[in-house]
Order: sequence, then structure tokens, then C-alpha cells
Amino acid sequence: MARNPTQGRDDPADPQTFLPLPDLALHVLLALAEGDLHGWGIIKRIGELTEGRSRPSSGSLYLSMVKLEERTLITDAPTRPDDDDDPRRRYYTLTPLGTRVLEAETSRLSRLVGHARGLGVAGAPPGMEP
Amino acid sequence: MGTRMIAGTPNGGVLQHIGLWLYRGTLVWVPRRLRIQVRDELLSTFAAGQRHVREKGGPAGLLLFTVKELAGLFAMGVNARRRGRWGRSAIARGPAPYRMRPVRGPRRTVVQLIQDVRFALRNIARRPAAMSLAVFTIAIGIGASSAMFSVVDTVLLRPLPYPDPERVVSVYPTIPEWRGHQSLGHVWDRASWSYPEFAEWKQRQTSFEIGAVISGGAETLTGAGEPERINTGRASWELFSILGVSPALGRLFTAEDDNRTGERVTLLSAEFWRNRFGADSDVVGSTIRLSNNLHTVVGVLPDGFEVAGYQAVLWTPVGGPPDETQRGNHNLKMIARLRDGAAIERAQAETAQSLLAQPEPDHVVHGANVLPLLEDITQDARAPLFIFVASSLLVLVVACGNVAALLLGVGIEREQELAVRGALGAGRGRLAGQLLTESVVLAVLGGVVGIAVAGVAIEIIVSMAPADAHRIDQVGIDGRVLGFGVVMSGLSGLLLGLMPALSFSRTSIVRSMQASRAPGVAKSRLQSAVVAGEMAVATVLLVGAGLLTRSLMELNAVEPGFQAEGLASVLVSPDYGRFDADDEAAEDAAVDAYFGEIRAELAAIPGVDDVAISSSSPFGRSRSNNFIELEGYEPADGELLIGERYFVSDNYVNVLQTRLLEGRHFTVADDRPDAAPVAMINEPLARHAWPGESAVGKRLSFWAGDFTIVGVVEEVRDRSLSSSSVFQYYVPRQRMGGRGGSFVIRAGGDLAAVIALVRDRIWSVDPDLPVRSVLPLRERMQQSLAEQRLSAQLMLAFSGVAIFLALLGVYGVTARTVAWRTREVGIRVALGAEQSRVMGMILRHGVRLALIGTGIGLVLSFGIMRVLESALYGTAPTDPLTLVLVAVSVGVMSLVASLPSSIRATRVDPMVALRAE
Repeated sequence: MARNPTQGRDDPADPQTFLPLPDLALHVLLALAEGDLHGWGIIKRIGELTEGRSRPSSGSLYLSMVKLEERTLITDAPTRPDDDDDPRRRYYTLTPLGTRVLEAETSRLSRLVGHARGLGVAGAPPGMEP
Repeated sequence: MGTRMIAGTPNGGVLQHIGLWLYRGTLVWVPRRLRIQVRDELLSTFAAGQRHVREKGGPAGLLLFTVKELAGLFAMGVNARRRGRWGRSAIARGPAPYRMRPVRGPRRTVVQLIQDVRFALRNIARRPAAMSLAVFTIAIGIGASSAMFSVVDTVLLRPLPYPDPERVVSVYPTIPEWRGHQSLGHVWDRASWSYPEFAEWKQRQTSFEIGAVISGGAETLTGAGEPERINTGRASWELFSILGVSPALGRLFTAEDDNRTGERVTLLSAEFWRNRFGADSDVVGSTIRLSNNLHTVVGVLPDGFEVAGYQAVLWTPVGGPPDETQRGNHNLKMIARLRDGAAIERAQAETAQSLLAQPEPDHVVHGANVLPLLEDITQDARAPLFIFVASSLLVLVVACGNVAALLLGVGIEREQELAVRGALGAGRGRLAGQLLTESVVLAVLGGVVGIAVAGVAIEIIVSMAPADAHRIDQVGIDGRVLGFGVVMSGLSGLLLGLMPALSFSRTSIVRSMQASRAPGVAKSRLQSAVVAGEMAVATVLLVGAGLLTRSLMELNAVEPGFQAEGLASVLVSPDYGRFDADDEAAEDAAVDAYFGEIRAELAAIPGVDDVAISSSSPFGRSRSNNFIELEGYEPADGELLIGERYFVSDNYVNVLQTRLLEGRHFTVADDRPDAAPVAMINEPLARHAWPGESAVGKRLSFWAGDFTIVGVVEEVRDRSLSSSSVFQYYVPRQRMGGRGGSFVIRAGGDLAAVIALVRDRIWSVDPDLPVRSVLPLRERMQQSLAEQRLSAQLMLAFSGVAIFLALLGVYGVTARTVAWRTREVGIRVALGAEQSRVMGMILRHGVRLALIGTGIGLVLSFGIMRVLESALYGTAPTDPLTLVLVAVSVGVMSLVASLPSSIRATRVDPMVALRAE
């Protein structure tokens, strides 16, 4: 998770203070960027996002989510689907701050990737194969 | 049957269940504040994951998933602690300077305890193999005993769900002269009431607030969809106020409803209301047709309403205006509420007085029996359940013994470590305390896993238990079971720790530091004694299991008095009301034509040889007893001559292939309404009434008149395989109006194929006839043994676990002997001892230990097995075959258990052994 837990509290509005995000936190934010999900839904979505290479256990997921929620990157979703079958479930959604942090992290990562490409150590961007 | 069911669940329902429990158990490891925050969600997420993985990956995937999830949860705990935010409290962590200051007072105890626990955990982690074995062993003991506790707690101990449940009682007349009678003995102190008796009792008594009578019944429901035979209950209006019930809808019965001349009314159970009426609240005031009578629905009972095991889907009033003709009709059970503070003895005396003051046409009542309702409905389960609880506790004792032996062994190896710590200034009390803490920590870990084991065990036990057992569906793990598990873990921990703690704190420091690896003789003797003790307890359980199994085999081998192969019985519930005619003969003829038509349809099924009709069939539950008189037989003083009667078609005895011992079979001519009255009786009755004489030609009389006996047949075991010497007699059914509740089919061909067609064939004659069950007789017989089978299987499971653990103990002792006596063995080998002698030495040690234990166990069994006597059939509690078999098998098994160590002993290289010192 975030290397320095006090940073975010100094200026909660500045997404930069949250970076870099740990992999799992990034994955959670990414999963939620597509829509509100509950715990198992997030795990499944992360599995899909990473093409099956990563599927966190419920324990590690929630340890990460508790942190994300405390730092107001995610929160309770305003609505639940009608066919929800388990009242214990909570549905999560990205907060505006969460969205901004996700944007900041992805642009940081894409800058890094661009840099790597410049050095010729990363593949060409999609659609630009020779 | 249950185990098969579970093993057969292809996608691992049990695995899912175990997984969930393990997950719950592991959750405890997550720091509390964090856990409270996310517990529900974690459980929900895990469960969703389980379902998903189970569908995709089957049992193997599920197993992998569960392991991964448990590891993840464990890591969550570790990470959360490391981060400090959710970790231990400040006191425990303690800043460094604080820790260096000497701590005094109660705080010192806490600090020491925490140190001890941490030290214990480290020690346990250092010996993963031995300690996992110990945890696992304790888990089995705790699991078995917690599971049994859960069953006993739910079935016997938990109060009934009524207000002031201890004041709700059953009230019975008692008839001491029935005591010991072959047909009536089991109900002598639980006889039934008739309605006039109850009405008079109400006037006279003062000890009760209120009393009510109930009875079970069955009615055919028509007019609302498919016709259905339903179980109903009849209750006088007081019942619902005794039980403190309020209606979910409408109203309950009132005193006016108990008036038979008024309109007929009914109360629906909540379940029936939902299933049959779609929870329609307009149902109150509507009418339903029960056995051709219209009943007005006045209300709906609350969810889960249940009384004394009556499985009624709806209730009708029982009462009526006082009607003296009903005085002899004893078919009611009374439930009453005692006045606050009223003594049961007084209530009993008063009830007896009220009964004695009443005229009695049939039998003489001598007293009354008042007992708490809960005790009443669980009476039969009490003794077996307590035996099982005792057995499961013995398993726990063996498990503890095993772990104690293991710890003694480990402790012996740690003697030097302890001695060093002593030398560095640790007090003896401190060392003992630390050893004790270690065993308690071990036991608590075992307890946590044990609860998961209990969850699985409960599922298995419940699936094997008879489905109608009281509250069996509610058995599960709740706070009380957890509490029991915790207490048992604590006790086991103390028990385990006490011995090593006492023995080691006495250790002389100097001696221990000097000593070689060989332990003191006293300690290895103590270890051997513990293992022998385990063996003794395991033997007792093994003997119990052996006896129950033997008894079950005896029951299976009983000749039931008919050829069960190829035989199936069909139980139907005809509604005779529809044949109502003014002329009785015409009515009988219509009934007979009806049965004849069904019988012909059944006989036409390919593979069917013959079909008989009877008022009751073997293991079919419904039976009728009648008082009988026999020509030339004077009953002894006070003897009640009662026979079980069968109204049968002429071929009934032939179809069952019951052996004819004397005289002749019924013929077609006998089975006519106007035929001469004839009867057949069974051999016990013939021998009882006319020993040494022929019964043929004698006369038998019962309420229907006098019948000439034409044949004597062997006894048919009807109600259970163990009940014998019941008097039975057969009368052709047409004389009795041609009523009958069952068809018995003899098939030469494929019985299963025949059975598959039965219902359709019956419904082709009468689509409204409720068919209660169609089963091979072989299966009905097996069902009647369900309880005995459950007993034997539980006992086998308990004794199997116990003997396995005890053998593990034997293995442990021999293995350690080899380790400690390496030097001695080395010298022996160096001096030319043959391999076989070395092997023999170790084998003898192991087997002797086991046989000493078994000997003690067998002696104990002689006394203890008397508690099983009533549960045994054809087997004495001291059955020599069982005892010998147990002794021999224990001998062989202990030989096998000692084998690995003895082989290892022969491989000792003398040079290495001598150098090792």
C-alpha cells in the first residue's frame, strides 16, 4: 500500500501524494472505474483485468480496501442491484478523489512506459506495430 | 446412508462447509478491530468465491481456492499486525526501556503470561510435525465431543420454545397391569385419555392452570388442486393458550369451536398456508374440503409452531359435548400447564384420584404420570445420547493421553533446555507455568480446529439420524457449543500440562545437564503408562462398537417370517366416505370392487406374480391390537390376552411366503362376506394357549365374533426385527367389510421396474387415491434398523478414532525407545545379537504395552457394557466372541504399529550408535 500513510492526510485533495499506488490498490481502483462492485465482484474483475495472472485473496483485498476507504478513495455505492442476494455485501464505488488518483497514477505509468519505449525496451504501443 | 449421501455430493458441499468453518476459525487471527469492520463482507466474499470456484473447478479447484484464501487471511492478520495500527496493545508491545524495568504485581503476571504464550507459540512453531499432530489429535477429541454436545444440547437440554416451558407437562394415566406385557408394556405409564375422562379431570383438578388434549390424524384434502393425504392434528382449544401461541392471521380455536354440532373449523400451519395457498391473507373465512367435509379456515398459526412432534399441516378441534359413548375411546394425549409453584407429585396424585373416581369399561387405571413435556418427548433418545456423549468424551481422553505422551517425549528431549533455563535463574514455578502455558496454547489451537471438525461431524450425524428425531434439524454450532469447546480445550490443556509440568519442575538441574540423552526410567515408564491407559479406554469403546455391530448383524440375520426378496408393499389411504351407502352390504361390495380393481391392475404389471391385500403389512407402521379369547384357555390371573390382527385376502400368507406349520391356508371360498368364519394364528399364540396340542379346530373370539382356527403359521416380525413372540391372528378381509390399507406385491421379475409402475396403475383406477409409499420390504426392514445402525456406526467411528490414536501412541513409545536406547542396541549388535532378537525386543515392548492396556480395558468392559444391554439384540454384554476378537485385533494392530520402530532398530550401526554419545 502507500509507502507513507501520513502523506495523504496532509493534503487530501492532492492526488499526487498517493502515488505510486501499490499494484493491488491500482487494480481495485481500475476495477471500480468500470462500475460499482462488491468484494467478490472486484476479485473477479481483477482476475479478468490481469488476464488471470492476479486474483487476490479476500484477506489481502479487504486489507487494501479498508485503507482505500479510510483515505476516501472509495466509498459505499449509492445503490445496490435489485437482484442482490446477500445482505452482508457492501457495494463500493470510486469517490471523485479516487477517480483523480487513478488518473494521476495511470498518467504517471504511461509517462514511464513512454520513457521506456523511447529507450527501446518496451514494445510499440498498440496499433503501431511495424 | 448418510455417509454415502455426503461422499456422493459430486461438487463438494461438505468441502464448502468445512472451508467456511476453517475460514471463520482463521478469521479469529485477524486483529479484532479490523475484524469487526470487515468480517461480514469477508465471509460473504469467501462464500461467493466458493460458489464460483465450485461451479468452475469442482472439488479440486475448491480445495485449492480454500487453501489460498486461508493463507491470504493469515497474511492479512500478519500484515495488519506488522503495520501496528491494528496490532497488539501498547502494554504487550511495550517500549524497550519499560521492558527492562522490573515489573511487579499483577502486571507482572500479565507480562509473564504474554511472554509464556509467545514462547509457547515459538516452541510449537519449532516442531511443526509433532505439534501439528498434537493439534490435530486434540481437534479430533474436541470435535467429537463438541458435536455430541451440540446434539444433546439441542435435542435434550434446550428448553421448549414456550413461555415458562418448565411448567408445560404431559399428563398420562398409568395402568400397572400392562407392565411387561408383550404388546402393551411400552405404554403402561403413558396410556391415553378419552374425551369424557378429560372433561371430568378438568372439573376436579386444582394443580393445573389449564389442560388440553391432542391427537394426530390424517385427512384427504380435495377440491384445491391435487388430492392429497395430509397429516392433521386435533386439539382442544386450550392447547394454544398453554403454549402461549398467538395466530399469525385470524384467530385460534375457542371453547365454542369444541362443539361438534357447530360448523367445522380449521387452523392452518404457516407452511401449509404458504405452500398451498400462496400466503393469501384472504384464506381466513374461506372453506376447504377435508375427507369430504367442508371446514372453515379461522386462522393461520405462527411460523415454526410445533408441539410434541406432531407433524400436522393443519389442526381441527378435538372436543365435543360430553358423550358417554366415547368413554372407552382412548386416543388422546394430554398436555397441561402447571400452576405456578404447583408440585408435580401433587398434580400427579390429584390426576390419579380424578381417574380412579371415573367408571372404566375397558381397563382399570391405577395412577397418573405427570412429567415435563421436553422429558416426555425425548425419553427414548436420552439413554443412547448420554452413552454417545460419554463415548465422545472418552475419545477426548484418549486424544489427551496421546498428546500427553507426545509432550512427555518432547519434554524429555527438552530436559536440558529446561535445566539450563533453571540454572540461569528461572524458578521452578516459572518453568512449570511455562510448560502449562504451552499445553494450554496447544489445546486452544486444537480447539479452534476442533470446532471445524465438529461442524463436519454434526453434518454427518444429522444426515444419519432419523429425520423425525426431535429438533434434529436445528443441531448446529452455536455459542453454547463454542463455549463447550472452549471449556473442553481449557480442561484438556490443563490435563495435558499438569503431568509434564509437575514431573519436570522436579528435575534436578545438575543431573539433567550431566545426563546423556537417555531419560530417567520413571519418565519413560510414565509415558508407557499413559499409552497403556489410552489403550484401555480405546478397548472399552472398541468392545462397545463390537457389541453393537454384532447385535446389528444378528438383527440382519433374523428370519422375519416372510421372504423379503421380490416383495414390495404399497400403502394407500382410501377415503371410505365416498362409498357411503344406506345398505352396509352394498357399501362393502363397492369397497371390495374398488380394491379388486386396483389389485387386478397391479397384478397385470409385467413381472408381478401375485398381489395380496391386508389391513396392515410388515413394517408398515399401522397396527391393530385386540383383546382375544381362546377356546379352552384360561388366562392367568391379571393376564391380558391381546393379539395383533390382520384382515387379509386369502393369498396373503402365500404371497409373503410365511411358512404354514399346521392345518391349511385360506382359500378363495373363505374370503367371502358370507363364508364360514375362519382364522389363522401364529405359532407363539398356538404354543401359548395350547402347548402340546393342535390349535386347528379350536375357536378364537374377538369383537367381531367367533372364528374357527384352520391353520398355524410362523411368526411374522412386523413392528421391528427385534420384537418376537407377539401374538398374531389372520381373518379373511371380506368378512370384515373388505377394508385394507396395503397391497403386498410378489414379483418374480425386476422389483424396481415393477415399483416404478405402481403409482400410475393405481391412479388409472382412482386418480384421487393418495399413495403413501411404495417400497421393497427389504428397504422397509432396513429403515426399521436406522437407529441401531446409527448407534453402531457412531460407536465404530468413536472407537476407530480412539484405537487409531492409541496405536499412534504405541508407535510413538516404541520409536522413542529406539531413539533413547540407540546405545544399548548398538552394544547388543556389536556383541553379536541377531537382528531378529533386536526386532523382537522392540516388538515385545510395543505389544506388551498394548495388551496390558487391552486387558485392563476388557476387565472394565465387563462392568461398563451393562449400560448397553437394552440396546443389544441376541448378544450378551459379555459376548465372548466380541471380547476375543477385540483382544486379537488389538494385538495384531499393536504389532503392526511397533513394526516400523523395530525395523529401524535393526538398522542401527553399532559404530555410529556408540559414537553418538
